[in-house]
Amino acid sequence: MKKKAIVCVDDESIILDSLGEQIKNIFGDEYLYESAENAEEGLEVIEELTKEEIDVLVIVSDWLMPGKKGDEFLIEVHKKFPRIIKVMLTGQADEVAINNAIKNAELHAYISKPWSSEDLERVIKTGLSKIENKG
Amino acid sequence: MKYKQLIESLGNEYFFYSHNINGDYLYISPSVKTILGYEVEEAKLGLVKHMTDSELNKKTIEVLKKSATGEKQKTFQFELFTKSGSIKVIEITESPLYNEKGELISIEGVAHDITRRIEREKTIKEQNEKLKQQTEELEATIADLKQTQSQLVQSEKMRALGNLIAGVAHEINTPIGAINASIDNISRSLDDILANIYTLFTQISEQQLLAFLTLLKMIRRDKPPLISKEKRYYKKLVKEKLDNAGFEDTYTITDHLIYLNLYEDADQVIPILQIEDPVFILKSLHNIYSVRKNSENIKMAVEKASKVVYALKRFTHKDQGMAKELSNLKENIDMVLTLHHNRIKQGIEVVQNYDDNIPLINCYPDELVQVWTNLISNAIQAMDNTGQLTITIRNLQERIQVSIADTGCGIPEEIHEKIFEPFFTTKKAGEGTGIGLELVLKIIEKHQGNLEFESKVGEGTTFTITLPVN
Repeated sequence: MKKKAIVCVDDESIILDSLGEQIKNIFGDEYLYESAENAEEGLEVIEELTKEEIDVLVIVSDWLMPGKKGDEFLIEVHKKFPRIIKVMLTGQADEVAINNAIKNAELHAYISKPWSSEDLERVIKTGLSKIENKG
Repeated sequence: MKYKQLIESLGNEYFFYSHNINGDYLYISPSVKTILGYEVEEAKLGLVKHMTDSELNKKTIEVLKKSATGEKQKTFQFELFTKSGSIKVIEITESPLYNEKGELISIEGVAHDITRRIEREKTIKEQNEKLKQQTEELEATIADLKQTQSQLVQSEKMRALGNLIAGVAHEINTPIGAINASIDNISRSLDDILANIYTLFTQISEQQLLAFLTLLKMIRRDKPPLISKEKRYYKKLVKEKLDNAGFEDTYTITDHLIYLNLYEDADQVIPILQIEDPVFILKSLHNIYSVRKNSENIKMAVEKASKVVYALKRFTHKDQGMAKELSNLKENIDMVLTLHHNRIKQGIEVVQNYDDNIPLINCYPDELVQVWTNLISNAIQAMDNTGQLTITIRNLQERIQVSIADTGCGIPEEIHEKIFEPFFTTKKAGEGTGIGLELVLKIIEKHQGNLEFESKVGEGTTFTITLPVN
């Protein structure tokens, strides 16, 4: 069976470490967890995983990062990998950016920091079921 | 009639008269016609009947009665209708004339037309009133302006604060999010340990126990945390080694080894893991180490949040006494950089050229924070969030020089003189009040400092401030 992965992008290592462990705790070893510190690296990771025949199902991205912002990054991801479920996780709600991502990247959900594990679980699970329904 | 000729020569303003004790006029000088319009003979019939009924005249009639009895009166005034119907104010000085026997024979009087003088006085009085009123209005306006100015200064501060709050919200929500998730992780790990503790204590083989204890000792607590790129590199490396060694579920084992900081020790670890269900042993170690790892993460998050809160506290700190205090300029500036971190990190490289031996300076630190806030915020805006921000602090012995240079759009030559003017702004409505730089200049002047700037359109702007140490 093809391995599945969840990718997180955030410029703060404290977020990547805690979020990654949390996702692993929730979803177990069924999914791989990969992280990147900015948009550029995020895209690199997705491409690399895809090359290794690992299926990236969900991407959770911060909005405010050095370089490319979350919404622009997710739009780029959407163009190249339209099937990936896109989630934004950020401490500062920028409405314009969220709307941009909804409109142009089919943003699945927006979670604000600090988040609860229940919200995270629900959002990712609804995202995953979307993929399953599509087949 | 000693001075008859003299008085008649003053015909434009004076006339002279005398009357006997019965009030019959003995003489009225011809200038009465020039002044009042009446012929001498006509005037002799009596001037009192031409008096207006003003309040002034009512008093004057009393004075006249006394004067007629020979009692010397002070100069007095009355108002008369002229022949043409206009009103003139006449000032009278009367003196009684006695014969050798000491009997009163007549009253002599000098009448002075003071209409114009009275009018002038009236005008002056009116103008004085007007001036007084205008002065009061101006004072009120100044008070209003002062009020408005302090409101503007306040709203400028609030705007700067508002900008910061949006950023600070992010800066604080991030560590809180990390703390929250870390706590969740610790709870889950502990739950997992407790669920498996019986198995761990009673069901594992000697070999598994040995592996557990050996690996527990090997965990590299002192290793620095890996950045995501390094993590990916080691993941591949470790996984390949595990694959070659014939392990199953190498993804999971790799993740555990990375988690336990054993990423450089794969060659030593592989023989140890040649046991039954290595994943169970690694998972148990993972759960124990999770407490430490997440605690470290919480510690880092708390430090991050504290730094922001401290900077924020300093920013809004109001010293009511407003006394100068010895402050560290580097800290003062770095605090502002901390507060702008979220804007800076988007694409601005900060270069800090600080001299080593910067003495403490006697200043109003909270006001200087506003100076750096304004200048740094302007610089970030000028660079549209991308470029190089160079902050230099030089020790010039008696003075300290701070320069803040950006690689932004620059200030066009034609507005160089205007940028410190109040209400001058190049920002969109609502983005700036136009008093930021005025405030900066005022604060620098208050410190007896100096502010200069150099700017080239398309290349950038450098603001240079020098402040006295004492």
